Amino acid sequence: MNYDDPKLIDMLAAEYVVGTLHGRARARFTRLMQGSADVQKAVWRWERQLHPLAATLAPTPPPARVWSTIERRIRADSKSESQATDFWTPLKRWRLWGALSTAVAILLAVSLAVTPVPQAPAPDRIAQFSAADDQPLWLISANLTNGTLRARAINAQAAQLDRVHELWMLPESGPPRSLGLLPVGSEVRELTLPPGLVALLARASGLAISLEPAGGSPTGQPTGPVVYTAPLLSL
Amino acid sequence: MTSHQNLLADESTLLDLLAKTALRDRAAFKRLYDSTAPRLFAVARNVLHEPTLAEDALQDAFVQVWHRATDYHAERGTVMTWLTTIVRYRAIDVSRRQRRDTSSFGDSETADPSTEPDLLAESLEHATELRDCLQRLSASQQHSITLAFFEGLTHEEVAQRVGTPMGTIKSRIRRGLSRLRECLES
Repeated sequence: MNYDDPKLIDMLAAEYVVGTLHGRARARFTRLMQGSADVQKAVWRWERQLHPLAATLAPTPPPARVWSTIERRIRADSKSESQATDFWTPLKRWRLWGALSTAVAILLAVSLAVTPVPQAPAPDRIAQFSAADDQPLWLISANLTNGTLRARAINAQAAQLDRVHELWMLPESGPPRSLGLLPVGSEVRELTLPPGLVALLARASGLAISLEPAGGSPTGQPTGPVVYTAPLLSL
Repeated sequence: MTSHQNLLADESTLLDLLAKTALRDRAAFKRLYDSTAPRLFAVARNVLHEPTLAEDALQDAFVQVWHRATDYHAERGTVMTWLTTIVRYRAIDVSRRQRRDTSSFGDSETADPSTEPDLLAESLEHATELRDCLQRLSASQQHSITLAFFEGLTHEEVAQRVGTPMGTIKSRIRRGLSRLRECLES
């Protein structure tokens, strides 16, 4: 099949959204979508057009047990996150000395993060965002093999009430690509990047953070001021 | 908050709740759930007639929303559209797996009458453009597309349901979608 034909892509996208694309064809199309921004956009277009249909169904309140199960499941997940943040206490102590360079701090931070959690895959790209007074704010690490991106807030405060910090990758060429919204406090956010973004990240020169309206940039490009930038280091 | 108010949660409220969810605000996540779950459960119930399966799909979808709230952006449509997307695909997955396991396909007795095309067209107040365009399709195109969409049926299952050969259903749905696209773009 010629997947460069926009009409064919559009029709497959429509069938994917309606649900009639199934079995192996659906799996194949899902892979195609993960590797191509154009295919992804065709799907989003149909989702925007067809999914409002669902608003016509009569609302049916789910039983209360649905929420209690969701709550239990997300609580179990966030517990493991807060345990992981303990590793950062030494880094905070360090800040008082204030003598070591950011690069050394990053390397030590990585060894601290990796050593006590042997099951976590070692990152191969890392960046640290610091405030003007060199206090670390966020540590970003990425594993290019499995595509995971981890953003750890070290001491980052929330932006203004209706503003959020959005993380951007600055690719070798082309416009910035969003890597999602950043956590605050001592939270950790981990996400799996689509292969297309991982490939760009492998050769990206740096990362940036902009202030965006709640929910993130409405345009897919930074709309607010860029408040921090950091080089992306290869390990 | 009464259920009536919940249903009126507007886009900016949902956007705010989703942004807070991305920042791990559990109270905001609960409010997001309360404001959207009844509609989303209806979506899951239409695809999965078995209530406990629909509950599982809704649960999985919301756990996914908790973890992937940062994935949302304006190109995905409104927050409600995005949530509907997550719930529908989850429900379709569960339903396909279920049917592979049981290999027999249930009858249409439990189908929600609100998904019948004529009622559907009447109740589409919030998607005027889509409604107008759907109405321009032939009745049989409308019927096949809405069956597939609301109940997550495959071509083969739509063919069984309407008693028409699968090849005909395939081209009917494709032609219907093409016309729908042309109409929506004009």
